[in-house]
Amino acid sequence: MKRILMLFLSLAATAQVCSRDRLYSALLESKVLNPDRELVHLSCTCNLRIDGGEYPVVDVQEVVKSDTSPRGVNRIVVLDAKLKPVKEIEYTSHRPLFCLDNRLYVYGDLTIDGLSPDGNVLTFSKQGRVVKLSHVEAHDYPVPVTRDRKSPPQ
Amino acid sequence: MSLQQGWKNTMDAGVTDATWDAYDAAIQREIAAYNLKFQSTTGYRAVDWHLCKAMVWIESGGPSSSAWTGKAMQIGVSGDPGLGVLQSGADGSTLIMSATLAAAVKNTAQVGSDPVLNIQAGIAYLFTRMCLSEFRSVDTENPPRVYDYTVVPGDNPSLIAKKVGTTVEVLEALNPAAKRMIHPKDVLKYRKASIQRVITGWRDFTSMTVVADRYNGGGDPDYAAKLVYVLALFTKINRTPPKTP
Repeated sequence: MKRILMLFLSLAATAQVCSRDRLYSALLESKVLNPDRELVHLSCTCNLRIDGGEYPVVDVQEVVKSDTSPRGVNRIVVLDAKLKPVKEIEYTSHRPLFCLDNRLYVYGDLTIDGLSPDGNVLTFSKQGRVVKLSHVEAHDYPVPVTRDRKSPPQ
Repeated sequence: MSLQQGWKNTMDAGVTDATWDAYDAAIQREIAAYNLKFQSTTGYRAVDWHLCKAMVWIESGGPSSSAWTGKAMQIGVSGDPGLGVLQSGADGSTLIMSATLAAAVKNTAQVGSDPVLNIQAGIAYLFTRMCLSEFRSVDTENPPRVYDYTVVPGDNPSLIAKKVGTTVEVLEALNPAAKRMIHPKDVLKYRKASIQRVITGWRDFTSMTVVADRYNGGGDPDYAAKLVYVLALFTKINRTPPKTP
């Protein structure tokens, strides 16, 4: 009974974290979102597990208003359990795919703060504040094929 | 990706209207300076100034738009991260800008009202976004001299590096045994050095997809196609450009 209750609470917590309304409010409050830009995408990709804690990964895409060609401001934002940002990583087309423990896999190789090397696997430590990049070939993504899954990707 | 006919018509006007060349001299000067400055850096190939002319056309919308005489490269538009990056020296932009430009971009109002300064800032932001860099140990004396340091109780490589103005990398390179263990009275060799951000390579300026991705940030999915379209228009232009206003 206790296990079922724990599972229920865990699912409820995940659902709450991934509520777009809560995310929007939290990101606006923490100034991740800029009121002068247009928010065109906001989603919770997955939860990282770092040092025993859960850290939601949010995909944020904004555009700068323009009469000509709007510039994109896209970021992967890692939040703590209170939805406070602990890490922001800028990207252009390398959107986040899935989490595996403390690793986040993204589409394509990105750099952090313009620094080499680049990579498509982000490994987090120290409550999400430190991240290291590495590369894995797309055919080596450590995820089971859909028919072998019992649940959606983390 | 098909571009809108209205947008094409706007750009096509530049083929027969010489006012669209107003910033050619300024762009040429700026690109020539960067080509000279970065020619010896790893992986750098001279940039064609036409790329930035095309960006000015696309970013401003041409002489009939208000941006043409102000934010010609859209740097300093509200909510845009470009100017903030240059003003704070983030993302390696201090490696790109001249001291004069770094000082000039601090004046937000001027960047927004002076189209030539806006173009200079836009080009600096483009180069910042195209540059690859990393933090490395760099000698700070020229020519470098080698010094001795005698280890005292309580020392470790990091502490010694701070004390004498060098880096752990230099200590380990000149004293391979120190990687494993150091003891009081050991004599270590070192050069003066510090950890600095250095340019290690460049993204491909001839790939419109890369330029669009880096400068536009994925905001306009047609940006690369627009660059290709405008660059093709330039081959149809046959006139002597006017002087920069």
